[in-house]
Amino acid sequence: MMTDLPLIAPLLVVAGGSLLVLLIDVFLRGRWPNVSASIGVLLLALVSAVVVAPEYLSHGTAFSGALFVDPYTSFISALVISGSILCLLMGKEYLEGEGISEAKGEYISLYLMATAGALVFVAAADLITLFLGLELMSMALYALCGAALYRSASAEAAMKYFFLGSFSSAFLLLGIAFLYGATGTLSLLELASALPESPTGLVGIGIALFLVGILFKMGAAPLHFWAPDVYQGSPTSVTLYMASVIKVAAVAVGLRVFSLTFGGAEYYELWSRGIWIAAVLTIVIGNLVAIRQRSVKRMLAYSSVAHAGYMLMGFLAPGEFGGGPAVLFYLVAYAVMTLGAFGVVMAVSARYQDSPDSDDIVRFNLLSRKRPFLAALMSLFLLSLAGLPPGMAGLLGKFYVFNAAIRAEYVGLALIGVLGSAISCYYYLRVIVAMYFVPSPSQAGGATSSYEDDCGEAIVAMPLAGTLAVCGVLTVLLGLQPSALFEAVETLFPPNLY
Amino acid sequence: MDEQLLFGTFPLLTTLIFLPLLGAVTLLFLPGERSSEQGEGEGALGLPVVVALFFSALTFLVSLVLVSRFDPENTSYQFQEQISWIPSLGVSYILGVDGISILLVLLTTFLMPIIFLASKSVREGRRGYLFHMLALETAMLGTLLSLDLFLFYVFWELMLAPMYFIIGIWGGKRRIYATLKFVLYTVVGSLLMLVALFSLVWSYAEQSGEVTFALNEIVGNVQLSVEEQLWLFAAFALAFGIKVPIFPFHTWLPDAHVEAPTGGSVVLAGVLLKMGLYGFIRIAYPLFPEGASFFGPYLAGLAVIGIVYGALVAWAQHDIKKLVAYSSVSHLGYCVLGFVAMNTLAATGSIYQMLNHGISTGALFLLVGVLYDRKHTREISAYGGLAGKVPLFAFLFLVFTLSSIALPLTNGFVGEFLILAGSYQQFPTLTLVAVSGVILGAVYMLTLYMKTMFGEFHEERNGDLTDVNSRELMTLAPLFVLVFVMGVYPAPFLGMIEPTVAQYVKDHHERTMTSQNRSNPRALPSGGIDFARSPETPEVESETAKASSGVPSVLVSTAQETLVQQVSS
Repeated sequence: MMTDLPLIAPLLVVAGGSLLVLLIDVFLRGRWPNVSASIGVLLLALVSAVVVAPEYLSHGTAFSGALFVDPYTSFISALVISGSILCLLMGKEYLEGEGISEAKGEYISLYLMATAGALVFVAAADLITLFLGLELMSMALYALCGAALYRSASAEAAMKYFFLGSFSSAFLLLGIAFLYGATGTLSLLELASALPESPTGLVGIGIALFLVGILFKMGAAPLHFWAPDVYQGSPTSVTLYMASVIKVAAVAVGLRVFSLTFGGAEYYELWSRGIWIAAVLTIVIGNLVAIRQRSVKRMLAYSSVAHAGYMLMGFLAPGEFGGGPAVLFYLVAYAVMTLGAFGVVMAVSARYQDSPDSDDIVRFNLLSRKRPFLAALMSLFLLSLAGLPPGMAGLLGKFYVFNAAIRAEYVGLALIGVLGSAISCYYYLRVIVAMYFVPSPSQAGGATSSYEDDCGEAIVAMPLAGTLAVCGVLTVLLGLQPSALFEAVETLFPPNLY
Repeated sequence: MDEQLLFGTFPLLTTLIFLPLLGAVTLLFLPGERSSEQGEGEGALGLPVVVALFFSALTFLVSLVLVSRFDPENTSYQFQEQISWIPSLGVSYILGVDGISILLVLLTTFLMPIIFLASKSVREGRRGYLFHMLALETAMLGTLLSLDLFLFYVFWELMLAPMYFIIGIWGGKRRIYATLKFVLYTVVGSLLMLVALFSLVWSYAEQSGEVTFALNEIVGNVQLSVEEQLWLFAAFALAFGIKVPIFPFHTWLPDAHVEAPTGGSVVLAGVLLKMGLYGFIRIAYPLFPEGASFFGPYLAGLAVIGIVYGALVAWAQHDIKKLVAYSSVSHLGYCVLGFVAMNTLAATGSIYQMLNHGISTGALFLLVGVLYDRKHTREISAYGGLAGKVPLFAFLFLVFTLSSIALPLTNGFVGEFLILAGSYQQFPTLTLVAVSGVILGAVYMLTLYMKTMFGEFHEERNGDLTDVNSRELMTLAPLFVLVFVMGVYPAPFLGMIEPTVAQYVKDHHERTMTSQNRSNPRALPSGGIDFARSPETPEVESETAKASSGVPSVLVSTAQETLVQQVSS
């Protein structure tokens, strides 16, 4: 047992860091545990993830089958940790304006706690560990959503997320109970072999309830209702964490469970129909409702719902169809572009933090004139989200996912996905319209001078600018050299296991 | 494939494609924009324009080198380059040029410097404008030269964003509406094309066991059932048809044209519209011969509707630019009709007419831009009697008007004549209707000329109008020369197109024959081509195709001189 400890070094570092920050904060209220300290902690964790990676080349488990030790876990953990680092860097300045600075210690501690939960969640090899990880992650997140102490929307977001999240966790737990009752095992690996001999009815209910829990965390329809409100109400630094890191964790776990544990032919028929419906609903609802949003943050929230739908398409094409690697590629691309887009929204809304509509689309007017580079980066992210070149990451992501779906003969679903992404052009481009096409008052002649002050400004601190640039470069590079990443993620799915 | 062609010498085509992009990136590193723009002397172009001109001129030179080393008699792809890009999915970076694309490439590189010379009228943020134009040039050249389906798709989509910004930032009052329409139309089409692309690739992979997007490998080798072909062709046809635009999908075009800045209109009419038909030629027809022969007559029908309808609507316009835009719908109808007729004569004419349209309509848009720069209106009724006031303008306008209505000795005549002569063999009734478009074309263009150039001159309104200045003359002169060169001596141009097209048409009929033999002949309506008269063997078939088409076989089979004599007599 003790010999397994080095294998979870990243988790230990992050969880330990979280407690340490909390402890130190008691004594040195608001002085030492600043953001950069926690970034250091996370960096350390990333290093340790790299260090243990060779161990993860084997396909085994640790702690008596509680945690997976395999390349998949290693890759997702690295993704989660690097995502967390980027999120923290981006949000560094933003925290000050949200009234979070007074509770910084708790904020950072919770942040690390959520990351630790995500690390357990993605590594879990049995259903109880999986649930523990999920709850650790979620509890910390509920609190984080309410971190903007002086904004009622933030508190509202926290409450909503908490109640709905608890319901979904209960469903998940019930699903686990059914699966356990039907098979007598909790291990994801043993379940795979036990399922075919188990009573179909019980297993079916178990899988369905499990699916509900996962869809909720992914923010997929019809369980997406929390996402827009929570994304909008939370401090943007938490929103981008939810939209990237948490989504990565949820999708990665869902993918693993559905392709590994439930991947057998007996139940594929059953859950594939459920996921098919969920994917269609997610794509249609996410894209259609996003059209009507005035708040860019909310629009991006719906867009992230829609993207969950594209990823679900890949769930349906397991094994040789290449859906697994396609989803992971999409996940990386999605995380990069969403981080970038939310980062820009954060920069703009930070400037107008006092007003209730700080992320309204009107705030983006004239951005191209006042902040040309920020506007150019935002355009790149938006085009990428829409799947249009030069946003190559998004295009290649769709390319892989649609490709897998069509290969698995889900042509109808692919067509729906395609139409959804055509619709998505409308609302992504609306932001570009605001940034570039809306005339300045001097051009239009009529508007007042205060209009010019009310839009197009942004606060871009050094770490944010740096991370945005990284996201921008990745957005283009991922598309120009997709093979490197794709071949890497392909090796995570050994044919005999998945 | 010839090894030497594959891995030979200098990557000419890559240079051609990415040179403009290099220019675009260079623009970003130029010193501050303000200083160069404030010295607004009429003569000074400003550093960004000079840089853009330099790179586009260099690209033009490279394309001239390409043309000089191009072997017209070789009907396969030349200057091929091939690098693996996404090996796991069989996507490669494959480029190549043939007689169909080479002159379109030349047209693109030729128009760009002209557009940059004309970019003086873009007042604000000129550097961004030039940046997007250069990026657009890269995308257009990439589309024309790529021989890998996915690469083609990427470049195809890449054309969208720069044009979107060009219309959206530097466009007219309703530009936001126009850009939205432009993007949504195009994206719906192209995304459906993406799905069709995958279906195609995976059906081919099932047969051959090899996943590839290489056009050359799939064309002729892929075996699809008739039903599959119909669906896939329909998906591709929708994407390409929107871009052309073919009749019911044309409504984005007038809006885009009217709102676009002058340079945007020129490149839209000059090159972008050709991409739709080019897609039909390069991808849809070779891949899905059955689908093509089923949908061909419908396409021809829509093309003719476009010809007549476009002309009628153009006649009714009050806005000069909108009139020219609708005339594009009409002219592109001829190109589609000519290609769909699928014989050497008409298809050659179709490609030739694409060049002509780029030149004459491009020039007309430039002329409209000249007027608009001065008077800030494009209402026909705002002008009148200009011939006396601005004689040089009136003269140039006359020449390009005549070229547009295909008067003999101008380039338009050669193209339209070839198309109508050729397509008459295939679709006699439709062609007769299409001919009425020629007459209507004369009606609306000459009406426009009459209303603006002749009649009463409004001294108070247009008294301050100045004639074409030297910079504007420089943009129009090359087009002016080409109108007559291509009208009087089309041989060198046709000579580059014709051999490839002849081979293309032959290949197409062979493919249709073989797939016809493979599948149940009754499964398909007879399409446009009369198979009953064609013998089974391909060699004989192509001979009879010529004979039965009623054209003297000498005309089709021998060198282009004969063709030209026939045409100009």
